[in-house]
Amino acid sequence: MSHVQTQLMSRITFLLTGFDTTGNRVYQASEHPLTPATLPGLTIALGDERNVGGTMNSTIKQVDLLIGVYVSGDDFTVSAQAMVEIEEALYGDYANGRYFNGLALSVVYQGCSNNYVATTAVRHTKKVVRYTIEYQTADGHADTAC
Amino acid sequence: MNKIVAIEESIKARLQAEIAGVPALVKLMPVVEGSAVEAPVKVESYPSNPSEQLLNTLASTGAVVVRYVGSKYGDRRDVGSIIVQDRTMSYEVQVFSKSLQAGNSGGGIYELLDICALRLIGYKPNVAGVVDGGVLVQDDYVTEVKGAWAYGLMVSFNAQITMPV
Repeated sequence: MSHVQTQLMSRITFLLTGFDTTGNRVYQASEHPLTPATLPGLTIALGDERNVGGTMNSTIKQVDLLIGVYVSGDDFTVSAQAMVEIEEALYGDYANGRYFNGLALSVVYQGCSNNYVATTAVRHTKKVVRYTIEYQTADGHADTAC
Repeated sequence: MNKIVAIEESIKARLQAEIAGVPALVKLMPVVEGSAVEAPVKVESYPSNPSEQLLNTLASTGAVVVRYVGSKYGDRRDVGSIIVQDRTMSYEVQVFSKSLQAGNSGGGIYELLDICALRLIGYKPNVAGVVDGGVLVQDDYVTEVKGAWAYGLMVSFNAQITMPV
C-alpha cells in the first residue's frame, strides 16, 4: 500500500478533475506550467504535516492541503467559480463520518491568498486555497488510515 | 520559417500596412514621363552589410528596418509531462530619415517612431509560442551622418518554449 498522503492526493485529484472552469488541467505539483493551453488550471500539493494527538497505538496527523487556482490575467469570475467547485467537491466527498473515501477524519478551510503576477510570459492570477486534513494511522502503518 | 524570422516578418507586415495609409509617408515616384507610382516608406529587414552609404540611402527615401536583438529566458518549469520556459524576445525597429520633424518633403523621424510604437504596443504576432502582445521598451538616438538620422525603437514579445517530457 502507498502512504496515506499518496492516497489522499490521488482521491483529491480525482475529485478536482473535470470542473467546468478548469477541466482536466489539474497538476499534482507546487507550480503550474502557466501556458495558454493549461489555463485556467489547478495545482494540488500537500504541505507540512503535524502530530495532533492519537491513542496508545495510533497517531492523528494533520496535513496542509494547498490548491493553486491559476487563471489568465485577473479573471476573478473564473477563479471564484473554481473555488466554488473545489469546496463542493471536497466537502461533498463525505460518507459515514469521514472524508475522501474514508481516508480523512476532517477537512477544514484555512484561507486563501491572491496574487496577480505580471512577471511571467502569461500574466495571471494565482490563488492558493489552504485546507487542513486530519487522518489517523496505526503506529507503524503509515499506509493505512484507521 | 523559424520563430525569430516569423515574428520579424509579422512586425514588418504590420508596420508596412500602417505606413501605406499615412499620406506624408507615401511619395509619388515618377516611372515614365507623365506617370507616377505611390512609394510608401519601406519596411525591410536590417541589411546584412550596413554601411554609411546605405544609411544615407535609407535616410534619403525614408525607411524602417527591423532586426532581432535577442532573448531573455525565465526559470524553467517542470510540471508533470511538460517543460516550459518563458522567453522575452526583443526586436529593434530602426527608422531612417533626412529630417527629425515632418515637413513638406515627407514624414520625419519622430512621426515614424510614433507610428511604429502605436502599431506595435499590444500587437501579438500570429506565431506559435507567442503568448502576449508587444511591450514597448525604449526608443533612442542611434546615429546621424551628414544629415541622415537613425533612431531605434525596442519592442519585446513574451513567448514560451514548451517541450513534452
